[in-house]
Amino acid sequence: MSYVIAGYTITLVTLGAYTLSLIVRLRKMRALGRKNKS
Amino acid sequence: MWRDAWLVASRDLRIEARSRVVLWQVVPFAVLALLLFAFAFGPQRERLVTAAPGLFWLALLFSTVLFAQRARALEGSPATREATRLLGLDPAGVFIGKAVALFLELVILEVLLLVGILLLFHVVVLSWGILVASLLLAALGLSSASVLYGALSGEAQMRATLLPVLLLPIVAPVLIAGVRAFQAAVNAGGALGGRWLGVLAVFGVVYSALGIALYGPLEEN
Amino acid sequence: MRRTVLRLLGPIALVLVIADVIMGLFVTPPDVVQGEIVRLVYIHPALAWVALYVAFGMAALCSVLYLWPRTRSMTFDYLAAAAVEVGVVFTILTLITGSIWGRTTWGVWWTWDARLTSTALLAVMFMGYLALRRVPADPHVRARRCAVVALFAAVDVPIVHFSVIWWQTLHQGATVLNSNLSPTIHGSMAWTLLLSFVAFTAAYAWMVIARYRIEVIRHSGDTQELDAAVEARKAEGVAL
Repeated sequence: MSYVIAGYTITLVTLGAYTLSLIVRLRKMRALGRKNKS
Repeated sequence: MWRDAWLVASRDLRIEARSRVVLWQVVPFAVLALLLFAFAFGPQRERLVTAAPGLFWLALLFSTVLFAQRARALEGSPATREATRLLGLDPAGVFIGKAVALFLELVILEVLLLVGILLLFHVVVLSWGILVASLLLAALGLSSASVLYGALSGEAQMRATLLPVLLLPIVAPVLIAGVRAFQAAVNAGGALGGRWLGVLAVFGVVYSALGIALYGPLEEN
Repeated sequence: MRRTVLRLLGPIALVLVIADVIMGLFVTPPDVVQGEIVRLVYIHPALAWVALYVAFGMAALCSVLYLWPRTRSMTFDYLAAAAVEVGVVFTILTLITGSIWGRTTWGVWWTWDARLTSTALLAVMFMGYLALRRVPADPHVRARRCAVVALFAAVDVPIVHFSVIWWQTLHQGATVLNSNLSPTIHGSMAWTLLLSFVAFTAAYAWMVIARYRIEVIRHSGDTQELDAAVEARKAEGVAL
């Protein structure tokens, strides 16, 4: 069962981390974009 | 197109004949690979005999990467670029020419490697037809893919590390099919060999076609 | 209307994934034969589906659309790149969860069965695509190169797949390893399985859109940066 938990955990953590990285990158890009425009 | 192909092929081959890069760099590398494999797997005879087909194809594939680099480098020199532009060469013809030149060089290397394998690894081939066919078909696919990926890899800086990473996964089927065909040739397994020859043929035809179609768009800057 | 849908996609995907996890871990019963291990079926196949078919298929399709003169547009290049990057994440997860499943079922962390091997090779091809993407070049040149790589990978994968299957089965003979262990599906298990596919596809969709947006913003900006990159590349070419 621990293997199952490990599998679920790895999946969730990885997807979560990637999602966060996307959100952070997107925010940063948008901030830069706004700066360039003004 | 065919005239351009002939032009490019003879040029590439002539450059090779004069500079002898293949002879002095690629062939020694291939031989070296065989030796290293022997160190890794030998010296027991059984292991070498069993591993021989795989080792042959591995040595060939790694050498192919060097070939691909070389073929690309030939196009990259400013003089060549200038000449190609001035002559208005048909890109498809350029591709065919380069692929043909590379094909011939690959076949020569295959023969040398084969001799090495037969002698050093004590391999006996029962079905030469399958073996020769596999070598020719594989050379077709490998040469096409090499010229194509050489065109993809762009400038020198990145090419050295990038080309292997791009090219080798793609030619994995050639490795698998080639090794199996070699084993079939050693064991005189006719039907089985035929199937793997089919894979090599498909690969060769597909990549030749893709090359003719896409080389032009890739090379235009 | 479209904006609302896109806005909601993220939270919806999140909810679906969490629902899948809860159902998978707590609500569904253990399998008669495989016991608790069957719970992996609520993540692994869906991950594989997204990685191998959705992500890769999308990357290949967008690449073809980019290469085809009539439909050529940087949009497709950005979409392809987004699909590949997200695809790599899902592919690696597919391999990890597949490996864990193999460990629990056969006691080994890896087997050279057709699926795992082809997936591993696909992962390498994806990463090659991403590596190529990082090479500084004119955006259109880069787009063309990457599209060709994706196209070749798409053409190659079926060839690889069949080669590996034949390589495997013809060699192994009696022992045919099948990573597609199908437990007896019924009731809540079937629904949860379906849920997993929907959930992970939704998550993928959100991620690709986000990644695509990043790419668009990144390239809508400085032409200065672009010109500098082109100059640098030209300099490299002359140096050779």
